[in-house]
Amino acid sequence: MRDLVGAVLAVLLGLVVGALVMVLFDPASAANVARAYAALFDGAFGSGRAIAETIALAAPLICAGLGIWVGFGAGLFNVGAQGQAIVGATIAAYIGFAVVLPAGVHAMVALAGGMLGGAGWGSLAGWLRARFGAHEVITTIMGNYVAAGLLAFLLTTPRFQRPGRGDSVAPLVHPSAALPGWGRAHLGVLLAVLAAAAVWLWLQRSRQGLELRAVGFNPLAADTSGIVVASTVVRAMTVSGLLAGLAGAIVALAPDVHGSPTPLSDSLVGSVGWDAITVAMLGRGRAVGIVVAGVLVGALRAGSLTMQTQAGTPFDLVNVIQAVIVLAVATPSLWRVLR
Amino acid sequence: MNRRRLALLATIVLLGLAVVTSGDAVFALSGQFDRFGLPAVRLPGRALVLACAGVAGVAAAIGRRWSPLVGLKALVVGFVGWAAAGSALPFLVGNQVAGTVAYATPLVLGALGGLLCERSGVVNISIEGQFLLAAFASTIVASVTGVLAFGVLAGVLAGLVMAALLAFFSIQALVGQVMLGIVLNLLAAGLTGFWFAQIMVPQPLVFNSAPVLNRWVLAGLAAASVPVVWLLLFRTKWGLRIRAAGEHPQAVASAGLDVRRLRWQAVLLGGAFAGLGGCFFTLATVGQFSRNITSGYGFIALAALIMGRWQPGRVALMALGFGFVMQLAGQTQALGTPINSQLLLILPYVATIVAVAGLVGRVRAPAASGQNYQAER
Repeated sequence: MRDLVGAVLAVLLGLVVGALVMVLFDPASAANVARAYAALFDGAFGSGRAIAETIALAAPLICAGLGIWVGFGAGLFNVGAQGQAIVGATIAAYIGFAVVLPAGVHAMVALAGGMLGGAGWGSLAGWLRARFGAHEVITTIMGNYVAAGLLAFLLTTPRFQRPGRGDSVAPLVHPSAALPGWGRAHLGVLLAVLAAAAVWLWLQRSRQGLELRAVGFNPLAADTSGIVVASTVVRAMTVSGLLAGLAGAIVALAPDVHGSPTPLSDSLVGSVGWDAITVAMLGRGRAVGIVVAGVLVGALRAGSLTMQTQAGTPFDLVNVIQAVIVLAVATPSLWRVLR
Repeated sequence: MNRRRLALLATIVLLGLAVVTSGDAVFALSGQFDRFGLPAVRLPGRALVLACAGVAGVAAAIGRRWSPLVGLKALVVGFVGWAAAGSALPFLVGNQVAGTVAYATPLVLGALGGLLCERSGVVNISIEGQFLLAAFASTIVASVTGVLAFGVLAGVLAGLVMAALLAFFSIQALVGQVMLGIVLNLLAAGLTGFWFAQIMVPQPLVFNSAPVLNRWVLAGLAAASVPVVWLLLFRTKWGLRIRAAGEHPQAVASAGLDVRRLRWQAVLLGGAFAGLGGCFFTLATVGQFSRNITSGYGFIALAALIMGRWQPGRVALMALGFGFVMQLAGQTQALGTPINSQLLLILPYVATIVAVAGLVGRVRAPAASGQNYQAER
């Protein structure tokens, strides 16, 4: 309950700071603040289509957020969800456009490929940590840029670049690999909720989950009690990457408003992996919290475009709002700090 | 053994390259429009690569302290020889040097900023955010006033503001430093993106057309900053205290010093350097800001900081090395050589991963960096 009140206050603070930023250099726009926020809300929850967009954007955020939560559980900060999502999206999209399979099976194979790709990318950081003691924050940050660079490279090769195109864009994913859905409301969100339940079960109700949390709580004590810390670390990073890879696969296979997935490009994954850190932070270490936080961030993202078109307020404002929300939630007690 | 390993690796790679090298490599020592024309040098590609392999091999065989560095240099020269061989266009040596310095300038300044910060015990993931806000602030102030010095000052101030946020939330509010850095990057991206669209886009001539700063000025400042930071950290009492705060804050506290105060000072000073670096992206290029103009350079600076093992001289060398690679990527694209420029561009990141894994030498961060200090009550 206290967490909920805190979260609501954090969101309010974010909106207030956002309003201040709006009027700071343009006092004339003060009258526009209410209009901008109304448009933001309208674009996030105002209509069936808006809600569908919010949920569609929330699905990958929830998956990657769960991945970061798993990392937190083992005392690891996986800053590499972005890179893992890029790998996942790349593999899922490749299976989607290069392979021919019956509908349904195709989507499942592509999703599985994306998950495996993300898991592999994540496990690499886990292995470097367990084997060489390389700090996962550094390896995963650098891994993000390696993944982005590899994708940029692949998009210049004939295997990935769409024939007849000079720019870096992949062929369209076959309809058989697209996630089924109605407009933007697609199956991804169901996958995300299922993933949340599965991760909760695994972390809280399984032997492996217990070991993982024990390592996160105190690696030395875990080691003493017979848990193999190294393999637990690798396992945590693998699952973390798997979930981020799933997020990337959902992005690559989700239908857009016209019903076919957006083709793979350098910008397809956007900032899902970074935003997922916000989601994991706001989720406060609970599966339900992460789902709600994912919907909240998804709503901000969905509403930002409507805000820009309807009220003329640049969409970048939601980045400011999101940053303030996280800062407010992450700061233990503002009162104690200011004392 | 460790001394020899790197040089040996260079030898093997060069021998491999020599097999696939064919044709002559042409090096143009002066640009087409330079006042004094120097002749272009034409060298047989394979012989050049083999010669480099020989040098690296000798370095490996002797195995002295300088062996890794010589091996690395031979590798770089041989690599360029391989890339340039068989290309119709000459390899522009002057361009390569100028481009390397240009790329390295913000990297050096950003990495030195991060160095001061991390030496005091505060991890700085938000060099990128400091760059970005500084790039924005310097452009807008220089555009409105028309005075470059004011623009640079504004950039430094913007770096200070971002650093103050980092200092406040990590030192006072004890927010996790990695998380905090990510959030600050998001904040800087949001603020600059928003104000760019709100202020600069409608009136670009007023707010987004700064006079252009000669990039060698900033390059000179960056070069001068390296010994300054080194002197500050390693030859002053203050520097000793900063380093102690980053290694063992409890010891500093029990000597009667204020850890928080020391960290505030180091973080703010670091922010000023990063802010100066941020000016480069706009003032020293075309005088214009655009959304997310720093595009990840802050993280390359972070990579240089780590690869340079938190030591000013090494950090600057690494920044130069990364600058070299980035410029080479641009040039090879123009030459149409067999190496893909996208793959070259990920080299700094891969190198950093390899380095932190301890596969090449030992990389150790300041012991207390990343840990917030809380006074015992």
